[in-house]
Amino acid sequence: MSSGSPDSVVDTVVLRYFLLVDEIELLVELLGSPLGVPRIVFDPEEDEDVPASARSEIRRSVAYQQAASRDPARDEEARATALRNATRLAGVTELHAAGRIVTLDLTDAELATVGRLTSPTGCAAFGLTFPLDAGEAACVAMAVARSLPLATDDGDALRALHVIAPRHPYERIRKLLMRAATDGRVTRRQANEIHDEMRRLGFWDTHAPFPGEAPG
Amino acid sequence: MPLGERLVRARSNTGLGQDDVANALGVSRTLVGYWESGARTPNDRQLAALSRLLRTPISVLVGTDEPEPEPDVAAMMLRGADQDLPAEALPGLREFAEFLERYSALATAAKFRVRGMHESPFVSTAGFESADDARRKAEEVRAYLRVGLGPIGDVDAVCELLGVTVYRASLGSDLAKTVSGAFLKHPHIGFSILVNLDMTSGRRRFTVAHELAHALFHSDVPYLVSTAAKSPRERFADAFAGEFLMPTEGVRRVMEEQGFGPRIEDPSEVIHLQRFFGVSYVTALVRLRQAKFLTQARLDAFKLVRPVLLARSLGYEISDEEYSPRPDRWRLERFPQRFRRLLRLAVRQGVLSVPSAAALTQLSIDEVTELVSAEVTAAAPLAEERTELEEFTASGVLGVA
Repeated sequence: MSSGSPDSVVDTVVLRYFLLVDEIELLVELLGSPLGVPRIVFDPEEDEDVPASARSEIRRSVAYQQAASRDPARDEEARATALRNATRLAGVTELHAAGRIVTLDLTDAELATVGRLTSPTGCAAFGLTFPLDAGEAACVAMAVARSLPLATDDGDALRALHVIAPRHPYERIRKLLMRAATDGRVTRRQANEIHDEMRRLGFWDTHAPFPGEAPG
Repeated sequence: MPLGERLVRARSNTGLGQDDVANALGVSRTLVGYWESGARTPNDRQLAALSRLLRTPISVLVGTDEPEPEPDVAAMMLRGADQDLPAEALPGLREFAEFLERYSALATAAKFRVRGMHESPFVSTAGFESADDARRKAEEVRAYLRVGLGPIGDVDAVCELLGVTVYRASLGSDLAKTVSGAFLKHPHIGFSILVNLDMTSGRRRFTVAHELAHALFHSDVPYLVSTAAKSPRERFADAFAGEFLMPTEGVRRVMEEQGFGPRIEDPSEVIHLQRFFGVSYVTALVRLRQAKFLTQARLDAFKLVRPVLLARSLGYEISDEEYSPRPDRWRLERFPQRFRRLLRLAVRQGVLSVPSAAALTQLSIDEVTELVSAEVTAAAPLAEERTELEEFTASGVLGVA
């Protein structure tokens, strides 16, 4: 059940990487509590035995990392990293229980927007060559309809957002880390270190928040 | 039309039953019935999962779009088969047709050259389609590939070298009734092969070779669906695949080298040959009988052998997919290597984002992230690999052409 009124809508990518580097509290501080996430991204009510392909995106990530932690084809270090990733991602359940994350359900109007953004033919109207992932589409639709800032690092989602609502506020991971340093929540070096750790875990943004400031 | 009716229509199009949907989503069949009757509504996560499972856009399920009026290639393939096929084959055929369309669109967007084969370099003439012709043509293809008489290591790599795309999907496990593979000519991607994942690894390998025969010698038709029914073309493709994977002269050579024969007398010899050529035990038996290295009496006796147990007792390493297919394990591996390279390239070039790539392939964000950032996350070489490299360096072989 949803509780509280969120100050932002957060996509899987942003939520995933802040969880993976164990800096989810920093994300909550930056965006305000609670964080709003679509049920496609995180569904606290889904059963444990739901098949992987039907899980919410964060739970799918947890399952993947758990499987990777048992994969004999990976070396010991990779398995340990996967286990740590799974544990950190699973922390989303506690955050929800503590009321720091709320799950949002789509309204009919938002669902119609999601339908267009995920349609192979309809997505072209939003400047997209390929349809958006359903979780990203839900984030865009909800952020616009509810006038909430969107936290995403999906270039395609941002492209669609600019078409739907050109001036709509949004946050990217790098921008969030820069703000964290400006607000004095972390040092510039720490911001770079967090970004660097995300990069090691697969995050694709190659530009550090503070290029002149080498990570420790 | 209400959501429930749209769900029924989408489910019927895929050939899935309410039980299949319930199992895939981890809900009860009763709940699926409620969704379809309109008594209840799936939540957003379940709706997204239904969209993926039923291969129907959310916009169609919620009624903001009508289904695409494009020709349903998968349904045509199903109808065009030599025998009545179970509806359970339809989702896999549809997945194959959709994959080729997406591959084509992504290659165009990323300006990627697919290098698909559109015309066979081999001659195919009516009247030359006997089993002997098939075996002769298998020799020609082997000569073209310069693989001699030895085993074909990676049959997918051979297809890629030839420009033939290989995709894998679940098509059902009752092989007497369903599809083992299919060949389709795609206007952009070129000759493409589908292989049923619900088969043992040996049978999948044979199917790739069988479909390759269709690609190289039967491309006068737009598609062919391979089933248990044996038309002359299917028999040709079987004979080709057997000779291609296990050439008679190559078998004879190995038998001489290993001290077998001239007649095979012991099933362990079949196991050795089967392992050497990388075919299933049954394929090896059939090939040895065709080449007259095995009498009918021996064939009948050897059929009763449990080959995996025998192979294990002979010291061979056994993969569990040799006797128990696990199609659920095939995620990224379902896609041809060239497509995986394209996906990496497209994400790195910003043609599409990681979440969009996940949506396009129905993979998870984690899987796509690993694929795209493999260099970033790759661990340092293991100590053993470092030592090996140091040994090569010390020996001076590096830098010598």
